Amino acid sequence: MNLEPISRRSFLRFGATCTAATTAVVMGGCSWLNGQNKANTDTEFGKLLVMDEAQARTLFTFAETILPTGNGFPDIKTAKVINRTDEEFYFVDSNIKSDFKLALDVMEYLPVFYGEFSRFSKMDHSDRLAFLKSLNDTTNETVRAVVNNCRMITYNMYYGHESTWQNIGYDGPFSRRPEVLGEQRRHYAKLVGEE
Amino acid sequence: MRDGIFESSDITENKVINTQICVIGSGCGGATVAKKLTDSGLDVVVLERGGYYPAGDMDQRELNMAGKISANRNLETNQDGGNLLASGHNIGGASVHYWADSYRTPQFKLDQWSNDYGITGHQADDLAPAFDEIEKDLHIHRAKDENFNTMNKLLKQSAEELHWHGHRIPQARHYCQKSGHCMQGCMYNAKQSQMITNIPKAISQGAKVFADAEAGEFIFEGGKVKSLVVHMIDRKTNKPNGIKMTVNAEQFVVAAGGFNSSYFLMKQGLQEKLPQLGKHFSMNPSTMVHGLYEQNITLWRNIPAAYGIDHFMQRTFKGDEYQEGGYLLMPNQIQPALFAAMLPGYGEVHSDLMLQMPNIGGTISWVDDVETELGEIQINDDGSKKIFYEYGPLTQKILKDSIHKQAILQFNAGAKKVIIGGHQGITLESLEDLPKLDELLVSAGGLFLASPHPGGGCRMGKDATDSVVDSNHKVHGLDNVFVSDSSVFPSSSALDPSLSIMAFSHIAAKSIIAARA
Repeated sequence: MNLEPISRRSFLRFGATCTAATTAVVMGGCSWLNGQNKANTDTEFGKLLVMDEAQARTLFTFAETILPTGNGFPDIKTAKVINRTDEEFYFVDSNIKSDFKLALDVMEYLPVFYGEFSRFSKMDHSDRLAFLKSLNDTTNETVRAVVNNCRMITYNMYYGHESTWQNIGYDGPFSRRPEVLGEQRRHYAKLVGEE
Repeated sequence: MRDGIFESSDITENKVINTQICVIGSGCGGATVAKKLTDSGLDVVVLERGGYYPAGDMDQRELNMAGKISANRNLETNQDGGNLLASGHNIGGASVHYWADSYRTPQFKLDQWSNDYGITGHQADDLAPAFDEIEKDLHIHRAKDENFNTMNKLLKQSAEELHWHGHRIPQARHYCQKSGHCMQGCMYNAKQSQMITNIPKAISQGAKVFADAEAGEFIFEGGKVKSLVVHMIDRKTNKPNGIKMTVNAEQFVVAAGGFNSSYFLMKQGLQEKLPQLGKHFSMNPSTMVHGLYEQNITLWRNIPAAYGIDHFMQRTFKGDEYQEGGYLLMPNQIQPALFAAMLPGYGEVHSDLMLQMPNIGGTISWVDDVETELGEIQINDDGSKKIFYEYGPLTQKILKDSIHKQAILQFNAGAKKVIIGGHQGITLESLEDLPKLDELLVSAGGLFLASPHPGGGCRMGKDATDSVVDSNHKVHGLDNVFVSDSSVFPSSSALDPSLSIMAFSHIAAKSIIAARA
C-alpha cells in the first residue's frame, strides 16, 4: 500500500474543500456536497441533529473498528457513542461542527486515496483495522489530523460513559453524586424526543 | 439571580447599564482586576460569555462538566487539527478547571520581557506586593506530603536519583478533599478559583456580574469607546436569545483570555490600527508520556501535580546547536475519557492498555514556546476564529527532548513499559529503546498535545508597531481600553500562567485608576 499518495494540505482546513469535493464527485456520493445532509431526521441511530445518517454510519464503523468488544466492555450503543457525539457537537461553534463533519466525510473516502476499492464504512472490520494501522507512520499531517480527531472523539465519548468504567477499574466520580444534567443536556434530550 | 450573579433568565428585556468600568471576562484576569477596582470604590460591571456553575451544579463527570465549564466542550483544535485547545467558559473562567498550580512568573521571563520587549513596571519588585496579597487571599502553599499520590512520589524519587532538580508545586487550595476532579471543577470549593474568591469579593464591594453575557460590538466616539453592546445567551441553546444590553462605561477592560481577547478586538475592526493583533500567540504546548507499572498508580486521585521538575526549564545550546531543555516536567492527571483519547493505538492494543488503567502512570511537559516560532490568531471571513501554530524546527527539537526526558524519568521510576502519546503508538520496553524516539513525528497530528495555557495576541510593548498594549495595559490608540489577561504576555509564561495573570492584573488595575486621574 502506498502510504503517501496525498499531498499535505490536501483536504481538511487548508483549503481542502476542493480536494474533498473532487473525491466526492468522483465517488458520486459525499452527502454534504450533494446537499443530502439529513441531520435532524430519524436515523438507524435515532434522531440526530448534527450528523446525517451517512456520517453517523462512518463514525459507527470507525468506533466499531477501534473500540473493544466483549470481555465486559459495553457495546457502542450502550455507551451512546454516536448520540453523545452528536449532542456534544450540537453545542459547539459552527466552524468546529463543520470541520468535524468534513473529517467524517474525508474518513469515509480516505481508503480510496490509498488504493482501496471501498469506502471506509463498506470495508470489512479486519480491513478497516488494517487500514488504520497502516496510517500509523504516515507523514501526511492532514491525514493524521483527520484520523486522530476521529479516534480522540470516539474514545472520549466511549470512556466518558459510565457503562465502561467498572471494566477498566475506574471507580467513578469521587463524590458518588448522581449526574447533574445541565440546561443543554436537557434541551438536547427534548429535541431528540428522549425527554 | 444566584449568589449575586445575574444570569440570562434574569434579563428579560433590553436594558442600558451605566457604570464606571466594564470588564469583559471573569477569569483570572477579569475577576482579579474587578476585585482590585472595587477595592478602590469604583463601580464595575463584569461580563462573562459562559454560564454560572457553582458547586451544586458539578457532578465530576468529564463530558457533563466540559459542557458546562469548558469552551467548545474541549473539542476545539488549532488550525491543523493537531493540538487540543482548552479554555474556560463560565464564571471564573479557566480557574474553575485548572490544576491550581500557582507559580510566580519566573525571573528569566521577567528579564526577557523587560530586556527584549521593553516592558516596564512588571519586574519582580513591582509584582511582589501583588504576589504576596494573592498568595495570602488564595491560601497558596507548597504541596503537602498528604497531596503526593503514588505518581508524584515515584517521580520525586526518580528525579532525585537522577539528580534532576525539582520542587513542591505551589497550590491554590484550602481543605482539599483529594478527589482528583480538579479539571471537572471543585465541588468542595477547596480549589481557590476566581468563582469563589475574587468574584464574590467584587460583588460584595458592589460589582455587578453577568453570566451568559457575550461582549458584542464597541461603539466608538473619537479616540474612545463609549459603549458596548452585549448579547445575552440562552443557556440551553448556547446561542444569543435576542436580548441586548448596552453598557455605557468610562473605561473598558478586555480580559477574555489568551484565546479570545485579541479575537474580540479583531472583531471590532482594529487590525489596521493594531497590526500586531493576534500575533505572537503562545500556548505552552504539553506532551504526554504514559508508563505501565507493576504497582497500582491510580493516577486519577489526589491533586494532579504536587511535584515539578524544573531542571530543564531553560534551553541550553552548544554554540548555535540546541542541546536540551525548555520545559517543565510534572506528573499528569486525567480521568478516563481524556486518558483514553491520549493513549495511542486501536482495537486490542488500546483496550489492553485501558484494562490496565489503574497501573498506568503518566507525565506531562509544559514547553516554553520558542519566541521566534510563535503562532497567530486570525479571523475568518465569516467572523469565526482560527488559530495557527506550526511547530518550528527548534520547537520540534524541544518537544522531542521533553519526551525523551519523560521516558528516562519514568523508566527510572519503575515503569516496565513507556508509551508515547502520539499517532505512531511508539512503545519503549526499556531505556535501550530510546533511539526509537528518533523516528518520532512531531509535526501536526504526530503527537497528542493539549494546550490550556494560551498567551499573546495582545502583546505588551512600546507602540503599535511592535505590540497591542503599552506597559500600562492600555491599548495603543484607544484612550480608555485596557487588556488584563495572558494575551498581554510578550512570549510564553513558560508554566501555568494563572498567578502571573492575577499579578499583572493588579498592575493593570493601578494603571486604570491612574488613567482616571
